[in-house]
Amino acid sequence: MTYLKTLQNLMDFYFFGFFLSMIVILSLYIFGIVGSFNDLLLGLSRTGLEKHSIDQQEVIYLNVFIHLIQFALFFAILLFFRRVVDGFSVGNVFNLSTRKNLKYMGLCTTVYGLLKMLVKVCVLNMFGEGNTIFSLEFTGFGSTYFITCLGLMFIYMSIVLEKSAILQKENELTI
Amino acid sequence: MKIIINLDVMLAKRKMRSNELAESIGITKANLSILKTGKAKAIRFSTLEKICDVLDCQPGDILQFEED
Repeated sequence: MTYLKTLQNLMDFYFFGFFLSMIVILSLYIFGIVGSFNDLLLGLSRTGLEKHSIDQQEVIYLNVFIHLIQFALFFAILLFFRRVVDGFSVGNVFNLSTRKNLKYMGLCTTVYGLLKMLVKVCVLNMFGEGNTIFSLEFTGFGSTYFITCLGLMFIYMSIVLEKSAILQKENELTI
Repeated sequence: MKIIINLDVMLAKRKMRSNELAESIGITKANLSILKTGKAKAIRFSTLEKICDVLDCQPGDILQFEED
């Protein structure tokens, strides 16, 4: 299928581009932490916390920590998605590895969305900024709510593929 | 409870080989083997019809219900 091949190529291009940018950003983080370049660290990892009057160094480390976790999760999402696309392209739609990769992709996406929501709603709410964000997120108009639902959808799709694999096996044993 | 396939018995009565039956009814030898060994999950009416036609028998001659 040509469109699957095109999707695979796009996926590879985006994945390797992200991988290279991740190496650059990690290098900048290491450089910033070792050399104590706080402006560089804050510039790379803005979460909104830095606008409030709490200890600057704590904010920097918290920002960097949250950003690195988000980075790692996003990398994992892309990696699993790439494996799912690779599996589809060779016709392995219902096999165990494709289902597992889809499930892990869903788990990482859900955690990514929840983490972003946690920072936006709980942490920023502590500084009186979160009330509007709180209502937006929980009425479904927030992007983090969408990301979390997307992750749950991927997990559900892996369950559907599992049931499809059982039906496929039964169909193959129908003479 | 189990459904037993007595295909071997009918093949012996009609003096026919498995591969001949498979070819006559249009299924692969592998699929016929799955049917004979009881590994099949289901059988289509069309397949059962062809088997009964070729072996000149009734479905009850091939299928047997056995309680556990």
